[in-house]
Amino acid sequence: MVALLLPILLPAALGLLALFVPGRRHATGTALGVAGALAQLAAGLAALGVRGGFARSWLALGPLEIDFALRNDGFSSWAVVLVGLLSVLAALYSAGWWRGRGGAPGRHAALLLLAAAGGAAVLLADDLLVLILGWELVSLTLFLLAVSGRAEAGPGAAKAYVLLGLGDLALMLGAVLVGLERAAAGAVRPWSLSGLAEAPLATSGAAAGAYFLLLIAAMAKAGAMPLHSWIPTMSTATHASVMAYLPGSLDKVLGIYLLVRASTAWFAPDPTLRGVVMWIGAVTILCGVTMALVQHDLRRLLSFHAVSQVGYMLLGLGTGTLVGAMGAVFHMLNNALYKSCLFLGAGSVERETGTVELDRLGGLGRTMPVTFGCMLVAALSISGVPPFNGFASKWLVYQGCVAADEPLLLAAALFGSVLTLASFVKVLHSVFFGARPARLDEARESGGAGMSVAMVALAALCVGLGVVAGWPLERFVGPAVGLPAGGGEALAGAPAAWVPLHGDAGPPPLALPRGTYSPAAVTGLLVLGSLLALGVASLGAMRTRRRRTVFVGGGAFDRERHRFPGTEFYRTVREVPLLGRAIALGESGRLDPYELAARAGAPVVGLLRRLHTGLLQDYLAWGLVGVAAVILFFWWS
Amino acid sequence: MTGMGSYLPLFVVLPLAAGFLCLLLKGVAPRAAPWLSVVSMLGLLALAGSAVGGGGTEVAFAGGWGPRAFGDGAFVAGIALVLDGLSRLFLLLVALVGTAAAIYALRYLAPEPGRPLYHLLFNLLVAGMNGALLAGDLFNLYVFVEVASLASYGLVAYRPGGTEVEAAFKYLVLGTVASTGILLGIATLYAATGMLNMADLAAAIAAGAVPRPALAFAAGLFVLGFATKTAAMPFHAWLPDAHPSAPAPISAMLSGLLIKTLGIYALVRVFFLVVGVDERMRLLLTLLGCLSMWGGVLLAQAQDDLKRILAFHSVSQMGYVLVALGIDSWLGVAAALFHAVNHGLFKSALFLSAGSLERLSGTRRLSEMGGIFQRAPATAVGLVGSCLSIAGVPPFNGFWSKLLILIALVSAGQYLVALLAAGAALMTLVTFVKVQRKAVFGPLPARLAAARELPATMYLPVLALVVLCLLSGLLWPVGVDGVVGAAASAVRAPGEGGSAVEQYVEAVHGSRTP
Repeated sequence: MVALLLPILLPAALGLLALFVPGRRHATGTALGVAGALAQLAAGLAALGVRGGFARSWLALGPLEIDFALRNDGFSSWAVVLVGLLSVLAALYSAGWWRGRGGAPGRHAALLLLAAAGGAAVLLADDLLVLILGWELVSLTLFLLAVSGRAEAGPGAAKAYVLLGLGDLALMLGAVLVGLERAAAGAVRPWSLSGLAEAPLATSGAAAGAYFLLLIAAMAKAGAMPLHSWIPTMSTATHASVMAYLPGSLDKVLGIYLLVRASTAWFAPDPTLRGVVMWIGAVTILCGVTMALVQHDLRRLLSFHAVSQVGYMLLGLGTGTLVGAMGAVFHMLNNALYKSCLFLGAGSVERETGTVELDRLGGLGRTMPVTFGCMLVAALSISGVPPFNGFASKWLVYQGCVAADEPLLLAAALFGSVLTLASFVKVLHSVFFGARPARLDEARESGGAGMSVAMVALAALCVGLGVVAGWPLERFVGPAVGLPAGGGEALAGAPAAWVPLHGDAGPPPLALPRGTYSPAAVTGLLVLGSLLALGVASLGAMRTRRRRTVFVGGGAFDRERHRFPGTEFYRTVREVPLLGRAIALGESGRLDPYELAARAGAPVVGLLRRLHTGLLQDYLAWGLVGVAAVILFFWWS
Repeated sequence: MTGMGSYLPLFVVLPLAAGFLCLLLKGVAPRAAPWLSVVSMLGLLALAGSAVGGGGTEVAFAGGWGPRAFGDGAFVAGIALVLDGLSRLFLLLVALVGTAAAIYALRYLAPEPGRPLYHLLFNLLVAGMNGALLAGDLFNLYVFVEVASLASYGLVAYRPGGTEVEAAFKYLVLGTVASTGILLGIATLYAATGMLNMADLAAAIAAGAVPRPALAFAAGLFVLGFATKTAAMPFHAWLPDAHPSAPAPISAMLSGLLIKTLGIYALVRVFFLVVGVDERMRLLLTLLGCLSMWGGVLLAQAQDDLKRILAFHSVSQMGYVLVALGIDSWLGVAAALFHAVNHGLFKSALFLSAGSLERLSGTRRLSEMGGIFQRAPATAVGLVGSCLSIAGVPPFNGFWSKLLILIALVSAGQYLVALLAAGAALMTLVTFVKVQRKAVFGPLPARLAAARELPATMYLPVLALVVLCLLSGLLWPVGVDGVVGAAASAVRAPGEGGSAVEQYVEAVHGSRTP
């Protein structure tokens, strides 16, 4: 019992303590933040071995008898460790980031810790009420973190909280539906999740509505289209560590955790619902990455990629095959790592240069080597380049598409990866290569060591989990989808992994060939090939390098005037006939539910306001007409 | 039985005495008036606390004018006061919010003139509300409703400005039409039965003593009257002008208490006990509720005046209560009453906070506020806490009552209404996210650079209410469910068998055996 409570209570307690640290006590605030995160990581590791859980009778809301119940299985415990690790890195990074700056690191650390506690509560919950409370705590901390960011952060924070609030309400309504459905079926503890997992609901009638509501909740949290729009909006004015920790990783972990549980354990979704999930995934991948291609603000660009990557997870889950679901869970883990690394890198660049405008950056590769190296690894990971971790999980998602016999969606997933790579070529070129503007000559990595430690650790994990991809698959991903052992086999295209999640039907007839991916072999060959290439290079012409002054148009090369920012090359994307229109439509806000609702609501509000003339006789008339109508209504039989 | 409730008249006598003492002491000790209000409210708080500790239905006769043996039966004269679970809940709410408002007024009103008059009206308002909550017959209910209403008209016009007087006049006219409707409804029932006592009337109407057209006419008039006092759409038009015009503690009393005691409580009492609630009435409650829920929340979107936003949200939140009352189950009634109490707590905290912000920044316009968190953290925390409560963020009480309403709606099969309620909750979140970010966070306008934290008597009542908001949600499993459940059981018996009306009638009749 205590072992399961600690990952929630420790960060919450230290977070509440840090809330009262005065703004000027920087060291105390950051130390509390790091301590709380480390405590959560340690508690998460200690809880790894705990199986099962406990339930205490808590309260009764009408027909719903509710327990305070936590439980642990392979999925939850490793997810808690992941959250703990991300908290530690976010705290370390923030500690470095605040060095020599104003602001209130204590409050910042406190809110991050409260989000961590809420996240752990969601992951360990065995009762829907515990899950809802943790879920909403994360939304609230995100709002408070965002709104206390820069001066112009308000509208973005509000938008984020409203869309997250939509998800929260959907979760609540879905949970109520589930509970009443189960209560009607005679369950004693209708909100108990392990009880729900014992008898998954078939998605028909009210249960289909419940699954759909949980899907909306997960989509809003994780940021799948069309409920994604809060992420790019809030990204421009929010602290980098907040972006990395919440929309970048924790929110994705929670959203996908909910959807994985709902799709594999709580419900047996029918093919129509799975099709909806798959297509939302595919559309999110392609639209997200296309919007990312045309961005020139590094933060907005990264947040569109954060949206796009969610698409892979939805797509994998929607296939309804074991391998696809494993791909979704593994991608959730990998995305948390490389996406945090990218956001933290962007924050580091912004801290030293004061801008995230790609056109104003360049040539930082030499002066900010750690940031460069880490972002390079993370960029290759997110683009799905072997042997990094992003490839391993995408590989499973691809297999899931094949197993579900969906060549069109497979093509979408592959194409999405290509465009992701294209987009990150632009980022790497614009930020780290090319000529460096003179005003960035002094930019060095001057933050505390915490920043480098956090980024390097994340990049190392991106490499490590790619090279030994079998290990997380066995330990974390397999148990998540109910596979006791043999998760690593999925990489080799083992037929056992291609079976559907629900029902005993065999693997579908395969129109596309299977493939095998062996991370170790691929890594070995790549290292060998690189060594050979280096050897050839050192033998050949590279040795006799000439240096000459560069002339452009007859004049000496001027770093300021003759720079080639990468963004220019990507303008052409807008000129592709249909795509250009689509991007313009996306940017106009006409596809954003938040904007749409505001536009649709304005005339209604206007009409209501016009009706309220302020004239007493009108109001009296309403009352008299109202009472006449009511009397007639009662009289009439 | 009579002896049990002998302290009941104190609920009315104490504030009345305090009120007129304020006036008497005008020349002798002008500074005593605010403290008298505080003392009377603290006394009421103690009384309400001990009343909540009790159980069952207590009956008392004011001034000992109780039943006597007369001829062959009992002769009933005098004013019957009845305390049951429903009254207990609202008496406690009145005492809690009233105490906070009285303490807040100590410093808030300091620079304004005419204070003894204010405190007289304040105490009359409380006396009227308490009386209405305890009245055992329809005519006294009407009288106490009028006492509270008249006091509130005066308090809305307390500030001598053009808009305030205009708002008070509109409120006066619409409120009087409503009161007249109530009186006419009572007269109709009296003409048909010759009774005014609610227990007697309930039994008579259940036995079919009132012909259908007369009952429909009376019920329609009661809807007009109590829906206007509740400010349910389309009878709400007075509220958005009246509530913002009053001084902050009075706004808190009006929005936090008056629309519930004169509106929701009286509606529940008259319909669930006396007139009877059928499918048609439930449908009407649901319709009025949906209209208020959405109309209020949509109208609030376009406002920039903080107090007007809060006032429109009162309309919207009362819509929730009405929708829940329209559910045919004990759970629906419990959810409605719980939400009404929660709304009383957080809306009064919000109005008091709005008063503090007005005092701090010299404006009620959201677009001109900002960054108060840096200057007055205690005030800001009070506002943020109450905003989170009304927006239904856990662990604040708004979350729990919203959840309870959704459970009640879904288990009654009203999926569409549940979706509408969830949608309105989202719109509420939209508004209060805007309020928070504009008023509390964001950059500090240069104008407010010199702003200082307000005196403790202004932020402590708000913080206390916010703590109560937290507790009423968190303590649901240990006590709150008992108090709210007892109130709901007084309205509608849990389960299928047994009737809450019979219980009430029996208790009142039992008290008449001399």
